[in-house]
Amino acid sequence: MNNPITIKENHALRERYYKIIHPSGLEIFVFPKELSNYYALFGTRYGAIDNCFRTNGNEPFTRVPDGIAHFLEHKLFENEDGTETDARFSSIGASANAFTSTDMTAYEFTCTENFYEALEILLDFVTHPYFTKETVQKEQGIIGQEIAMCDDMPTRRLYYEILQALYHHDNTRINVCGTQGSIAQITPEHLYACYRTFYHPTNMTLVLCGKIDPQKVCAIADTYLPNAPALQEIDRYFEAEPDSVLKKRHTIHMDIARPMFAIGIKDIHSHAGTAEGVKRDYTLRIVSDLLFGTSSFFYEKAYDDGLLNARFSAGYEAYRTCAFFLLSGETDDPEEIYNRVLSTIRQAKQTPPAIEDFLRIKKALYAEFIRDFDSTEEIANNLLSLHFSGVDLLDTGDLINSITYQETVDAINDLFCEDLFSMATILPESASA
Amino acid sequence: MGLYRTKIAEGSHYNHLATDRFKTGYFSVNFILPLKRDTVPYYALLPRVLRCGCQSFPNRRAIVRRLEELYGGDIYIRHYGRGDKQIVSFSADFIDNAFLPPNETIDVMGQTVSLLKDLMLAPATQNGLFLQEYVENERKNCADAVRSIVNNKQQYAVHRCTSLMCSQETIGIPILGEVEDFDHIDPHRLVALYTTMLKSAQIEVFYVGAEPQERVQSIATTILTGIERNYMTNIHATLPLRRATEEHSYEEEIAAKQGKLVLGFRTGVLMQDKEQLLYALFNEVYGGSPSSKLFINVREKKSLCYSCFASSDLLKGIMYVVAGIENEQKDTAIAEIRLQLEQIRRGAITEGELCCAKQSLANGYRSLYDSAEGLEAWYMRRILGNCILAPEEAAEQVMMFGVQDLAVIAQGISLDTIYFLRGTQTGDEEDEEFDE
Repeated sequence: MNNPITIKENHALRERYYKIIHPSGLEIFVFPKELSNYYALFGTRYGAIDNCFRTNGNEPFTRVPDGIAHFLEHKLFENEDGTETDARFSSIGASANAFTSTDMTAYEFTCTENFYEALEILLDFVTHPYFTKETVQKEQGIIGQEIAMCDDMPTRRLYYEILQALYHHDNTRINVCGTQGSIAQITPEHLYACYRTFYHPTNMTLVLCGKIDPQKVCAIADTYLPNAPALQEIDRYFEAEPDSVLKKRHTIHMDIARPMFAIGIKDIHSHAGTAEGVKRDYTLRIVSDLLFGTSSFFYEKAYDDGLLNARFSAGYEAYRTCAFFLLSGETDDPEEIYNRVLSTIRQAKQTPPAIEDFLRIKKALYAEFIRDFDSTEEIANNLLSLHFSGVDLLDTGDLINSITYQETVDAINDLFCEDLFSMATILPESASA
Repeated sequence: MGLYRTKIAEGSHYNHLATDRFKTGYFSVNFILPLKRDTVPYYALLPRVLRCGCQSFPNRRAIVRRLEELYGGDIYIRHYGRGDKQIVSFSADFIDNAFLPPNETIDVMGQTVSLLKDLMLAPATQNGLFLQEYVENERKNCADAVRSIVNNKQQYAVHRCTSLMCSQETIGIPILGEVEDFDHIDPHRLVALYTTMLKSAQIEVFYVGAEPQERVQSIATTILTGIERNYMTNIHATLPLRRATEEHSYEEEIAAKQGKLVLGFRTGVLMQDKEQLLYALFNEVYGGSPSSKLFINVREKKSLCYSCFASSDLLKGIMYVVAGIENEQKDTAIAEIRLQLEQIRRGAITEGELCCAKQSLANGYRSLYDSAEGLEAWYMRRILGNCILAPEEAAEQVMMFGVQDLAVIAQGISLDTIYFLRGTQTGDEEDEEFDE
């Protein structure tokens, strides 16, 4: 088959990639890179939030149990002939993995040799679902243990606790793994329905990075991907989310050493999942470093006062349906931190940060972008997630450089609305007695 | 990318890995000291205090601001253990000058390394002591770090297993110290041990990147010239036990939903032995990858857990097998873990398993060339074990081994300690409080 190939180049970065639209509708990016590791990422716009959907506007929506995207990701590794997908990869020295996030699922492998053989295995197993009642039941045991393991991880618990305090309905509050109760309801029929809808080539993107020939990739894609199947529009249903937080405070107890806190700030102007949203994302990363980063007055003071330690982080997260600003860490006095965060923000609204600080932090952000080109894995993951938001990786450096001081000041003013703050805390078990 | 290694002073070597594959460079100076119970808390504290400020940049904020100006370079000062040694490491990574915006003339590497040198050799002091407020604050952070081990239940279980298994050995010394060590810190001793480190530690300098070797070596040599040295060859290596004398079993409880099982084995093989690569292959077959015996049997066939793996440290002569399981599955899991080891001892390894393990291991070795830190860690272990070998050579050598070789290795492995951390929150009880 003849696949049209386009080339995109950035001379300053000394990087380029090939883009192929395969007749199946699949977009393929081949990013040549002289590193030892090859890396392949096969992603679909399907994550934990996509739990209610239809592909025919005349039919009712299908609702599926929470945690099913992640469950499906596990199950795809099983093959009808009983072979182990992991063993197929490792017999040629490749190592495969997969991850499910809030709004995407992706299958990946790395190898230093036998790249094209590994690519064949990847395309083969992801395009061949095989679910039975027995195999689903077995997986419920394994994922049940994964859920228990994650429930014992305080940082992970805290993350979902703050999302559940911030959001009334938005599906971002759903735990990617689901719950013991929700995964028990999953059936092979559910899995097939999700697979047919979201694993359609038009909903997926393949990104390959390493010493790779795009022509060879096309030949392999022709073998494993159906030619031009019917285009499919996915209609997802999401409940409308009010412009308010569900709870201002939320507390749980665990066996931990020191209290932990997460302060979430809901962004109601996020443009989530769009190019505009990506620019806002980078702008708010600058804001985050300006106000709460390791070079900020806030952090220096709280650290010196013994209120925060090095396990503190601040940042912005954007997904397809929503975005939020998050500050989290360990402290003996969560309320004091909360108040200091508020006063830092009030102060920044009154007296905006110095322009030199803005320029210095923007420089560091740009350098961080450059550094990611030292890893085939980073390149592919950045390319895919930016592409899913409609932004080109090789234009992202210019996008960062285009952020103005005024845009940064504006972002401070429109993001931080005090009504949209919420705090979740985990207290040590002994504190509950 | 081969290692160029040369002696630049008594007890000091310069290690250069030349490559133009990265847009960044990496430079580190590592001080290697004997692991001792009484000095561990001081060396755990020292990097934190040094990171607080130096004469040229007197506080943390000034340091970070300087790094941001230098295009977001990173500087890490760390303390970690390797076998019977402890290492205080100063490292920096920075963007290559070639990728700075046009018209930028700053020498990022030179400036970042210069800051690293200031932090290492010109600390902020008052009356010959480190600044009291820094020591005081970091003393608490050190105690906090020890207390926080419990936050990660798996890490905590391995930590407890090691404490119980190696309580009488150098390798059993907890590298973070104990909480009570930080109740009182003698500020004079802290400075004295800092001086000892500079004077008498073995020093290993590493560089990975595109700068010419002569330039970086000369920078390294200049840095070391600023140190008054009195190096004495490093002395009493304490060799770890090669065999367990008997099996021990311990159980403790924790408020968690899942139990954590840790089996501590004596490997029989140590880093300096010629069998070290063969051993690595054994570990891979047994529990090193998703196609290993433990993963396939304990997780996939028996659905006992989400993860079950084996990881070995040949500088300590210990292998841990770790699994997160339901409490009731403890005995079944132990039996299966034992059975799979027995299978290897009997030579019950399929061609497929052997091939997978070899490929997976060789792939891991070759992939190290994409990571400066990964290469440094690889060579550091081998410098300590006195068995320098390039990852690509290792990747070739593992292909030679056969099933019988692995059986012999497995026969030399002995189970020392079974540790189980029982989760006490196994029901679905909720403990939530709602304010507002």
